This record gives sequence, C-alpha cells and structure tokens, in this order.
Amino acid sequence: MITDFKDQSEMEQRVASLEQMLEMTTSYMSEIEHDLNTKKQKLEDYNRQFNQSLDFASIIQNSIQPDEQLLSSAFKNGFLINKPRDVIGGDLVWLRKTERFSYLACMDCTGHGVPGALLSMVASFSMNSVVAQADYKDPKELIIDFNDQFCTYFQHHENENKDLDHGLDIGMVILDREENTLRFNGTRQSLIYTNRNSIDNIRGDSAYIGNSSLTLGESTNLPVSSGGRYFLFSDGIVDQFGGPKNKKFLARRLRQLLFDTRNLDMKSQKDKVENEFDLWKGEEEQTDDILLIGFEIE
Amino acid sequence: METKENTSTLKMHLEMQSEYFKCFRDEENSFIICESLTSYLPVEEFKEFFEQMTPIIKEHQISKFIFDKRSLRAFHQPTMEWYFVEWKQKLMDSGLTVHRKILPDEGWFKKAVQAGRASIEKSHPDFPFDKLDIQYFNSIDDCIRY
Repeated sequence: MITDFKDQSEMEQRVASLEQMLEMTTSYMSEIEHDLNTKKQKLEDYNRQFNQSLDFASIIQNSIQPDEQLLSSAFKNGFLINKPRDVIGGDLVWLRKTERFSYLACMDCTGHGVPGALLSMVASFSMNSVVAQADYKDPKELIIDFNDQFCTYFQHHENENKDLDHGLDIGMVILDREENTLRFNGTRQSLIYTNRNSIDNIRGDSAYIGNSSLTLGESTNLPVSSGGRYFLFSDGIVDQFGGPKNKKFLARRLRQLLFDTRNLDMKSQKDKVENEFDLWKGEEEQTDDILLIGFEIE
Repeated sequence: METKENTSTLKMHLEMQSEYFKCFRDEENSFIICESLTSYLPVEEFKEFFEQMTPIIKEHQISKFIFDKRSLRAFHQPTMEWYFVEWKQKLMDSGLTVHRKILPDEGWFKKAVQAGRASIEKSHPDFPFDKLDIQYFNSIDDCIRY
C-alpha cells in the first residue's frame, strides 16, 4: 500500500493521476486493438485473395498436364502421384501422343510454388514448340533441342551462351510403336524399371536443362516386355524427411516399394505407394514438390 | 554513490537532493543519474528539481541523462509531457540527447508509460523524436554501459 504522500492535496493529485493513467492506457489499448483488428482483416483479405489466386493458378497448371486417362491412352496403364508442395509447383508431367510416338517427360523445375510453376509453364511451351517441329525417335536429341528452346525464352534478358540460374531436371521416354522400342534419357533423374523378377535403375546424365552447352550421354533402350513397368519421378519423393529417425525416404526405399508392389494392379500399386509415403512423412512438412509417374506398355 | 546498483567503482558526485529526488554526476562528466525517491512526484516539485538540474547539465556539457523511476507507482501525465517536450528539447540544444530510463517492474505501469509516450507523439507531431536516443533498461549498470 502506498502511504508516502505528504498531505491530502498530494493524495488527491495522485488519485487523479492514477485515474488519468488508467483512462489513457485503456484508450491506448483500444486504439491498438482497433489497429490490430484492421490489420488482421487486411491480412485475412489478402490471404483469401492469394489462396483464390493460387487455386485458379492450380487449375491452369493442371489443365496443361495429362490426367491418368490420357497417360493410359498413350501407353497402356498409368498412374500419377502429383503433389505440389504449395498448391502449384515446379514439377510437371508433359505428354504428347502421335500416331507413331508417345512422348512422356517428368520435369522438375527449380524452386517450388509460384516461381516453380512459372518455369514449368515455360518448359511446357518449349517442349510443345520443339515436338511440333519434328518427330523424335531419340530422347537425347529431343532433350538437347528442348534445352536450346528453353534457353531461348530467357535470352532477352541474359547473355547468350550463359548458363541460366534457373532450369530443370528432366526424365524423358519415347515409345515408338512402329519399331516397338522404348527409349529413356534424362538429366539428374532416373528411371526405374520392374518386371516379374527384377528391378533396374537407369540413371540420367548429370547435366541440367538451362545449361547453354548441354551434352548428354546416349539414350537407353528399355526392355519392352509384358509385365514390365516404368517409373519416372522428381527428387521430392526420395528427399522427403520422415520415418522413425526423421531421415530421407531415399531412392533405395522407393525402389524396394515399387518392386514389392509389382504384382498389384496399377491402381492398387499407386494406393500402396501413396499410403507408404504418407506413413513415412507422418507429421513432417512436405519438403518439395512430388511427382511419380508409373506406366505399362502394350 | 547510493543508487540501487553496484556501481561503487564509479566516482559519482551527489549534485542535488530533495525529498523526491537525488541527482548524481559522474566525475568524468559523461552522464547524470536522477533517481526518484517516492511513489509519486508532485508537479511543482518535479519541475523545480528539473529546472535546478538544467544549469548543472549545461555547465558540465552532459550528454547522457539516466532517469531511475523505479520508486514510482503513479505519474502525472501533464508533468511527463512537460518533461518530454519542454525540458528535453531545451537541453537537446545543449547536447543532451541520450536518455536512459528505468521503470518500475510492474507491467501495467510500463503499459501506461507506453500510452503516455504515444499520446505525446500524437499531440506533438513536430517534436524531433528522431534526434533523441531514448532507451529503457532494467539496471543502472546497463544504462551506463549502453
């Protein structure tokens, strides 16, 4: 209790001061509350508009990608596990079917979210443009021409013959129905192949799209046999942290999972892979965009 | 010196004392410590004491003023406004631009000081707040150090 006042007048002055402090503080807190509410409302509005914008962008991005039905019509059966980290992302499935060829690419553009999605659009336009000009039997030639076209889009702002700061990894297969061949090439991506008794992993080159002087190793002719399945994937699935020790999923675990589920029909295999991956991820945040493409051929 | 902190290594000179305040000056003339002694400071006594400190600050060209208000349990806002807007501005021209303050530990008091400061800023938009370095600390040692 405060008792160090000198006289009645000082006590009254002190009480008046306390009342004024209380009034001033209450008013100040009300102003802060009002200000906070206004800012909260603005943030909510911005967030809603941003999410609406992302949702619409997602519709646009999905519209340039094939669905499972289209994938199956270009090969035999197929499934897609496509999970952008942020509604839209830098992973993209690109597919084109002509009378003779089916072209399929798994693209993983630099970054995720909006920048990744923008790059994926440029990549898609580039691939459309290249394939429209010629028939390609060899994915190596297609990837090299695609790289040239992709780099051209950015040369208004960047020096020619200079590597881009942004680019993408790609895994590409070309099915030639006339010659009954399936060929693979890629940059920093692998293809997994399973059949009834074995599994194989075909590694892509270490180059990347966006490199102005891209060179690639020779394409790989894949076995074309009944019961064979082929999988292209971005690094998001194998780099996902989770499990009991919070480690990466790793390509080894993915290969084992695809081999263990090789006898399931493709729909069941997809469900199993998704379930196993979700179990592994648990409560951990998704670290990158995720894309896994599986297909069979006739 | 007789402040609450262990600053015995400093050579301090008691310049003034009243029923409500003590004022110390360090012998190197780098700062002055003004310590309130009561839970309330009546306006007349406040102004009188601060007016009396003015020539000391000017004479010794003091640039840092440490105001230890930990004894307070209430303040008179018009007095604080005078102290801020008139007294500080007058001495700013003499080179006193660094103000260090220690408030009572009570959260409601600190909030009231924040409200008072906001009120002063609103009423005196032309006051050169940016020319003053005002910071709050919990001890005399920190006020001296920073």
